[in-house]
Amino acid sequence: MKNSLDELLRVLEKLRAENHPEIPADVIKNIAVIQRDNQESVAVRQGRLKSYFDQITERLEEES
Amino acid sequence: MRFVKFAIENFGPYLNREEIDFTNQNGVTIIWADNGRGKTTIMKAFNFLFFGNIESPISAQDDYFSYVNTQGIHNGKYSFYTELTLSNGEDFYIITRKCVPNGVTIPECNADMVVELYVNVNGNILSADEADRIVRTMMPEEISRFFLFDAEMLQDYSVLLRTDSGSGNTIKEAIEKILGLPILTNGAADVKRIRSIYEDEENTAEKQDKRTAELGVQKGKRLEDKKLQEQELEAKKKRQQELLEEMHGIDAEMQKIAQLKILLDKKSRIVEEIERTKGEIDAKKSEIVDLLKEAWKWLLMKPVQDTILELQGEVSSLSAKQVAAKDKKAIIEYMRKAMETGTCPVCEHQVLNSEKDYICEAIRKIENGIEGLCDEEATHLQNNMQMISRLQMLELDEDHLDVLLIRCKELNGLQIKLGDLCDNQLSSVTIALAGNIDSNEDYVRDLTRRSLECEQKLEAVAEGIRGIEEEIHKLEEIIKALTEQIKVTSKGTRLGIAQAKVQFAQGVEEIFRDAVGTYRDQLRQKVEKDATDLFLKMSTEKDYDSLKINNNYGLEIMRDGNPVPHRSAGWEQIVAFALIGALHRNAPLEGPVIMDSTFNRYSSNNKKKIISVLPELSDQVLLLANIGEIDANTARKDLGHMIVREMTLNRVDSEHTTIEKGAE
Repeated sequence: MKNSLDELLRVLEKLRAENHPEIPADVIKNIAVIQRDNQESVAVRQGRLKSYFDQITERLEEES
Repeated sequence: MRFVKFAIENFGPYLNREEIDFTNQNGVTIIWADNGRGKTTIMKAFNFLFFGNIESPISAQDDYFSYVNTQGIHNGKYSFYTELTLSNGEDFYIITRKCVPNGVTIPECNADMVVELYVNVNGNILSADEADRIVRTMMPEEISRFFLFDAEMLQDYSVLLRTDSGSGNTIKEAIEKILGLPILTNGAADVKRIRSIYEDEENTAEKQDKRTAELGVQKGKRLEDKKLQEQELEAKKKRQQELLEEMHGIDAEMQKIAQLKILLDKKSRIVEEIERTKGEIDAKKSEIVDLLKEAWKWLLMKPVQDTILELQGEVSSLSAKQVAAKDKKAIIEYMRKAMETGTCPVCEHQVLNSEKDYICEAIRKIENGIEGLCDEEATHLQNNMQMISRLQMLELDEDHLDVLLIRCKELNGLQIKLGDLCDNQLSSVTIALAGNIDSNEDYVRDLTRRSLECEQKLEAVAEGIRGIEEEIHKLEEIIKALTEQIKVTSKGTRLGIAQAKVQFAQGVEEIFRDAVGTYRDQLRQKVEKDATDLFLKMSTEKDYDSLKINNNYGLEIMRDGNPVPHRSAGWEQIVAFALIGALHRNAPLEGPVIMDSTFNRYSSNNKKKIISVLPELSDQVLLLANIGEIDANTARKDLGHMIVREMTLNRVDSEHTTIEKGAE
């Protein structure tokens, strides 16, 4: 079975590398996976995304 | 997703449990059947399984009870069910949708039935909500046309060329869904929402910091204004979507009544032609009446002509006699004068004495020979001449008769034409209109009016959206400027962290937002390339050299760099096949293609080419084939090892069909 996100991830990675190299590559990939896996339920999707962002930004706070 | 097995029981002609086994191999499964054996019922069963609707994915008010097998009812079996086993390589799903009596022992109508859905994942039964969600995710209704289709649905792809249609927009969204665009568009929207939350946290920190409090308050107001504008924008976009869906519904109705409109236009033209012809007939009749006023004369034409001739003959002989007498008298007169004067008044000859006797004798002879008209003859001559004059007034111009004959012929032609218009053309279009369920001219006009109103409302909403977006952009500029000022002023760690979070979310949002345009353009190019590749394999027309894609994923056939206008229904379907294959090649969402009897438009050469390309549409293709449409041996030869299974619909009787392995 083909990896259905390959092409999409390639586009995202190119834009990240060109315009926002400060944002880790795995962050973008994980956000795309959350979107793919939760397309039908908006509330669930946004909730999961917020949790993920909070984790990332907590890391930012600790680093700073 | 791969199909493993599909089962159906007591549905349509399928009395007992009948199964379609799919293999592990990629390729084409063909189910052969004659007309009326139940091919379309299999499509309907898939519709029922995935969407709970039978006639189509979006049909409403299905009469479920009418699909319970008649013999089943006779045997006391009132439920029917469909079941699909499938796998994504890791998990096994068994989806069962059934229609059962709703609390009654013996159901008698649709109201007595209820539909139930169960999903088993690796042995675990999901809740009703989760089951519904899973099924919708596997086969979203709006993209079902790219997985389950028949010839009629393939025709609908022509709406893709119309970039202004509600239907076109709906299909475009469906295609972009299958291609994975929502991952990016939803991603950008969801991250934007998170950024907004972080902006609020940032603004709270700005207000709490003494150095930035005032600027923070100003920024806070702008953020509030922006939120209100964004809420307004969302409301307008929702309204826009509602209007697009309304437009889609109207378009669908328009298509249904397209035939009705054609008939109504035809009827209007025929009625106009009838009125025009009646007018011409009246004018012609009036002309003929005028011509006929003199017609009685033609009855007398021959006798009059004969009488005139006769009279002219008499006049001629009487006149000749009269003229002869007159001439003789004139001669006598000249002679007498010559005698008296001694000189001829004609030639001035001197008359000699010896000639005078001769002259006297001549005068005597001539006088004896004068036969003038007697009184009776003179009267007769005069009468005849008067009669001739009167009769000549009655004579008619022969051209007048020719004109009358021509007008009569023209009148006859017009009457035949009127008869044809009324008895044949108007009659047949009236019968055709009567056969149409919505043969109501008011309904057509109402639909046209609604379509126009909807377009106007869409335009107004689009204008409103543009205005709000401009406002939001201005506010964003102001907010950005205030943020920069605050950054310069602030030194606090807390505020710095809040700013960093906003910046981070902004960066992610930009990446996803920019990716939408880039990915969409890339996808369109790939879809165009793959569709062209498939199209050229199916095409029998050497002049057609490629397909060109538009913003709505509509495809135009290109010839020497120019689009081919007015393509036929057959070519419409071939382009649709090409699009389906291209979407499957490029879509993150996978699934088998199920096709019902789509080949009746094609020549044998076309069929051969299309069949050869079927394995390229998807990993699994289920073809419901009409035995009369496709030659089985040719198909086997063309597909070769890509036919992974053949089955046949076997008629037991008119209410009972079985699915047998192997070809007939």
